[in-house]
Amino acid sequence: MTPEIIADNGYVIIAVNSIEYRQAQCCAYSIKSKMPTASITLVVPDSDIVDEKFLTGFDAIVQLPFKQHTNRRQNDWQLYWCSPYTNTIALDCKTLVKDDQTTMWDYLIDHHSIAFPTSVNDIRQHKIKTKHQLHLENEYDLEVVYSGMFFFKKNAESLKHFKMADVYFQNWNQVYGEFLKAQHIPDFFEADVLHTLVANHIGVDVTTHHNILSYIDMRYSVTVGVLGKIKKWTDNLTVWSSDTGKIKIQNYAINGTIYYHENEFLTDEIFSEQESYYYNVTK
Amino acid sequence: MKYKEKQGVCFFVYNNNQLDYVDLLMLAARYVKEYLKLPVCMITDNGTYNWMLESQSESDIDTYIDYIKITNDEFKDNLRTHKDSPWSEFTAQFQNSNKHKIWEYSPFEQTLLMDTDYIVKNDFLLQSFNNPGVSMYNNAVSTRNDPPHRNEVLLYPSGIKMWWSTVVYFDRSEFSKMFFDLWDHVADNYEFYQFLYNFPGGLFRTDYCVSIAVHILNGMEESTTIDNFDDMPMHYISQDDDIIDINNKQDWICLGCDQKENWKNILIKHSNLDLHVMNKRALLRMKPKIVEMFNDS
Repeated sequence: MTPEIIADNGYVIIAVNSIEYRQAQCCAYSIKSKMPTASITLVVPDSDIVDEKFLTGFDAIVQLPFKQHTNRRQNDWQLYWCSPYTNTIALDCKTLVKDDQTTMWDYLIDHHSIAFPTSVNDIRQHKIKTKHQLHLENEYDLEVVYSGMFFFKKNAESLKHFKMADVYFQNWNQVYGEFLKAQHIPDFFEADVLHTLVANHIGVDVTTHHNILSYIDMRYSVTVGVLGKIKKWTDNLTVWSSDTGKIKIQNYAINGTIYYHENEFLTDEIFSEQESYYYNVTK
Repeated sequence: MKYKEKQGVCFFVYNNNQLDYVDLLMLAARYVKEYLKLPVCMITDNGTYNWMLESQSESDIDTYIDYIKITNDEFKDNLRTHKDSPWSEFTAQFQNSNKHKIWEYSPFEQTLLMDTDYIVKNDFLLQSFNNPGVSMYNNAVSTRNDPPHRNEVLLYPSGIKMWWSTVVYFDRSEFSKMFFDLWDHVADNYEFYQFLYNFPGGLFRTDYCVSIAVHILNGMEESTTIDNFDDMPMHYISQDDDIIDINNKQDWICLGCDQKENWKNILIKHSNLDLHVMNKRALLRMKPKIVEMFNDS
């Protein structure tokens, strides 16, 4: 069941439909534009039906080994068994990486078996205090983690997390009912909440001292803070992109990792600029 | 380049038909001399200079002003609405479009540029002379401990952070030069940057120019390239607030106006902290008392 190890370190990105394949591919372009030697694997339900055009930028494609949930993040629990790396960073497909993460890799490998960010930022790189974080911290005394980007090694400690995630992620609705009060239950499957419950119930320390896995989360950027409640950030904020791979949102240059959440963000223009920058860097 | 002195304080002073900036300067300079003990340079035009000679005593000028620089800059038309409490309003030309030229005008190697309505009541700003580059405030708090209007926190709700040009410290480094060049560039292309950064129109504000310059120097991120006086907020009384009495040089009694229900005021004792007195007429009303206090000491 465990795939052949193709490299010591690498990224895995789950995608379950063609919109997500394209997003995952753009994420891969962004990673390789900054770290041309990085190894990246696309994780899909069925590799036979993925159009070859989506595979540029990836070093490997693997299938989900056990089940195929239509919500891509509900498959997170299978990553331990399908990652072809000894050390893995899992990224949500709606993510772009705009910095060189080499030193982050070194730090994580030296210090952690499994690690998640404990907070996310807005475009100003200010920490966001999300509503669910406030509830989970104040009402349940849980240490909240975010899961748009997380790290794990293949070892016994991280295995505990994925084994528990197997149960929790597949039965997420009952898990919500079991552990959360009705008023705090999210409307949908929320990977951040499920990973938080798993991590806290297992008791393995998954937090990093400097929170170095933190990323910009556009979903929360617009529901918390001065912007007030906006349904889709892409309706209200302007994105500027260039064929040198740069992304600016409003007046802010995006450096680091950004989870953009909305499909509308990845226009043909932005995709092709990221693609051409990738080709320029790696040719 | 040789400068006249190592450290000093500069003020731009351009009178208009409503406010006597010379009077404001003479008050601010008294406080600078008292608490910073630094030379003061007045940057002004011929008209204001002549008015100073007429309106101030020679001994006061000699005591409080060390250098005078006469400029001949053309100013942008910049009509500003001032308030003196919520119940009184007046408009006057605000001549500030040459403020970035302080780099050229200052006779000091290390300069503190201050607005004439900024009253120094301790020696905190002397610490900035140890910093390389540029320092400015990037947060402010009213005497009621309220934050400023949201447009003075961020340039607009999803925009960049506002930096205040009320007090600007700078040295003569390449970095500082770059900062003033950028300020000049933003001021020159103010309408373009207004479109790009979405800040409120109408009044030409150097606060917006410096905020954008800082943002660009930071690589369009929030960063610490520019010092913010160790995160110290700038204390201010707004144009709706008033000064009721002055107990001694440092101890002032102010009237803090509730911004939402502006008929509600509270008395506030303000001691020892520097104060940006945005209600300039309130400060001018206190002139006789302040002058008397300094003359007596």
